[in-house]
Amino acid sequence: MTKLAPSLTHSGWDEMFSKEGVRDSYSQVFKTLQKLSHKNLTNKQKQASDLFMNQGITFTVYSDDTNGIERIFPFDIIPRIITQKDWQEVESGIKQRLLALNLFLEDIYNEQNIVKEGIIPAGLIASCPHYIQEVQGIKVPHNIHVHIAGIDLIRGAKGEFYVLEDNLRCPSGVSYMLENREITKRIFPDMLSSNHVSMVSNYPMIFHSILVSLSPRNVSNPNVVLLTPGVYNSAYYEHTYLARQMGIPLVEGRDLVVNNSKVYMKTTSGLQQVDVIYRRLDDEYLDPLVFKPDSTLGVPGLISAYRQGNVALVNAVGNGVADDKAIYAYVPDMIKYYLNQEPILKNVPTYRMENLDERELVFANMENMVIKETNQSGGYGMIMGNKATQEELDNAKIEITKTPRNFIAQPIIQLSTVPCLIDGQLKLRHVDLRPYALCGPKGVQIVPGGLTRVALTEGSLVVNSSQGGGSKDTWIIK
Amino acid sequence: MLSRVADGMFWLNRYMERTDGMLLTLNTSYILSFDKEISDFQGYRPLLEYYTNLSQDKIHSIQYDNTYVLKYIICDNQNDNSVKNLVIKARENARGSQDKITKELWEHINSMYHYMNSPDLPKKLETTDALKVITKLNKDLLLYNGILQVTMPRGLGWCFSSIGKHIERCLQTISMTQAYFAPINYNLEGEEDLIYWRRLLLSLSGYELYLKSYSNISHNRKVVHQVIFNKDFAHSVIYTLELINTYLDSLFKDNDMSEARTLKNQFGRLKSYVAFTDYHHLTNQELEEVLRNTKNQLTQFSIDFSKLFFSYT
Repeated sequence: MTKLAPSLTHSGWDEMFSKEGVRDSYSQVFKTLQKLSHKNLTNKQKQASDLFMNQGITFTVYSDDTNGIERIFPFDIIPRIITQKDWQEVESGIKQRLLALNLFLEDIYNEQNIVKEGIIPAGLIASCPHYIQEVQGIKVPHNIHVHIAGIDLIRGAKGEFYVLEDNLRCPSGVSYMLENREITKRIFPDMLSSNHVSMVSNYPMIFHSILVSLSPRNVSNPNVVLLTPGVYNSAYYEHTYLARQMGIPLVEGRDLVVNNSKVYMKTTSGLQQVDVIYRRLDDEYLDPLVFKPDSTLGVPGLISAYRQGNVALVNAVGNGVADDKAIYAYVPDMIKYYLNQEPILKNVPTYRMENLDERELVFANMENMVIKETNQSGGYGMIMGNKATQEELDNAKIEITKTPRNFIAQPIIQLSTVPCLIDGQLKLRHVDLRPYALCGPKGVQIVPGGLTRVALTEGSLVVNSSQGGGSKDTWIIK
Repeated sequence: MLSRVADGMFWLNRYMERTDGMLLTLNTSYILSFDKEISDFQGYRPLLEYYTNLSQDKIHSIQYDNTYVLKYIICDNQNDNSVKNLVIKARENARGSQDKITKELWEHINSMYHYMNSPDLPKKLETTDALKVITKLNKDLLLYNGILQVTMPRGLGWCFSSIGKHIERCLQTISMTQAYFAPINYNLEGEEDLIYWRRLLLSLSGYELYLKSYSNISHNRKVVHQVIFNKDFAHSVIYTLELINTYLDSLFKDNDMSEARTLKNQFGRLKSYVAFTDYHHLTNQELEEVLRNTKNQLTQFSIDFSKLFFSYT
């Protein structure tokens, strides 16, 4: 039997333990884990790693050896559990948020009423690098711009949820949500069924039906494809996984050609028209005739076909203006403006560095702030005030003063923790949560689950996989 | 089917078939090297001449060197056709067509890739574990073929995979046959013994069938029959050409392009050339020509086939 409970050494929220002991939601899991020896737990961890490796759920680290080294994204076998009550709040909050964000994108690429009425400064939109002038005035199918979103949530000291980021362009990681569950089924089959865990495996079916519904042509079997940058992209496994799960072709830019403002794929029996493209390529690489002229990943003429309504792109082009870190601060205002509602999920307080008062406040409290570059993601361009050296903080101040639009600051929030199996022992590590929301003509659907990302380094608050983070299976229990 | 994906499946199976044939030849030569029979004047030469780009001088210096050849053929990074590099290339093609191959097939290729990249593999080849490594790899290739047969759907992807596989197999059979007939000047009436032909037949998985099908004397002409004309032998030239023809028929079923008809005719002439070669009256010179011409025409067919179906860039 294992002595499991690690001591709670921080003042934040732990998902499994309260000061009184194990939370009700974790009681069964805790009992099961207690019956397992250290060796047994370690073997299960190894079994999970081997399964990931054999399935090719890996990324390549290139070094002097030209063939590179295959690594898996670390997976921790102890699940993260969210109660149905908490999930309902998350679900309704995300639905509300996406409704507002879609209305915002429709507005900003057409009438811009939110700007005209002074809710959001015009300069903030105009200076956003992800605002795409080339699609101004575009009409997208069903007025939906965000078809898939990965909303990053964290929990504060009392367990309350905050939205940290809205990922509305090409959110990744959903395959890990699905594969993590498949791995858990193999290593803890009894635990899953006895805890009444909600199913996530219908995600590809829901998404596929949304993709089909977006076809501009009224045909019974439209051609839907997934556009990938190619085999060297770090998310390539996910692209193949989703293409296979949805039964759609996985295409690269070189497989497509635009003729007479229609998109075709090059097949062994000639050209076939493409109706819907789920693209996993950033806006700036989509069409060398409109964006980066040296992009070999995209398709010349694609934006022309898109503007003419001959092909649907998922997500729509230009969504980056809505998940810009500076515009994020205005999402609660968007919810009030478009829906006349109070936000269900809170934002993390965000200070815009263009505002002199806010900047001075941040400069006076740098050690309690996290500074983020507005056009960066994946944990890059981020300075944790409590970890940075004085020199780094001074340099950050200089950069912020030079280009304040490019930075925001937020108070450091202690992310919640979940026990992880590290070196054969349970240790507390900080986590976030990324549920995946799908928007189609029938509304917003969120499969009950998500990707729990873990900062595996002790004390770290950076959960991004590119920064050494791992993941956990996320259970929504009924 | 996407041209790029069809290309990927075609080459995935060419590389895996090449690996299979090369390992079979390596296994045969390695096992027989322990016999030290007098008539073995070639050693690993047939293997090295066909599967590597080594110079004649280099081949001459290493053709009996077990350890060097094993390491060079199995895991040398500098050898473009080493098992390791072929598996890497096969996996790259599998990755590019991953949405069209089955999960089982992908996982098997992936596990072979990880095995080939295990850091202790070269060391094992210097020890008595070498045979275990070769045996495991041979079994992995058998398993690959089994998974391919059992799990892959019979659509366009299957046709491209099968055509790639059998083009490669046919070229291997011809090249290995040339490697054993060239040193004896394609002498069909010669008296080379079974020990001599055993290497070729084992390398092509045809030894048992040969023993069961042919009488026990004057092997040279009978070996030619087995490896070129025997329709029951899965590695014979005629068998592989007929299979390619079958899959071409499937591909061209709904294809009215004139280029498709031209290619079909081109292949038809090649198949007829072999099918209507008079085996009973075949001369030494004609044997040499049949092997050379068939190889050249098949190589040209493969190029033209790729141009027609895979010219996606």
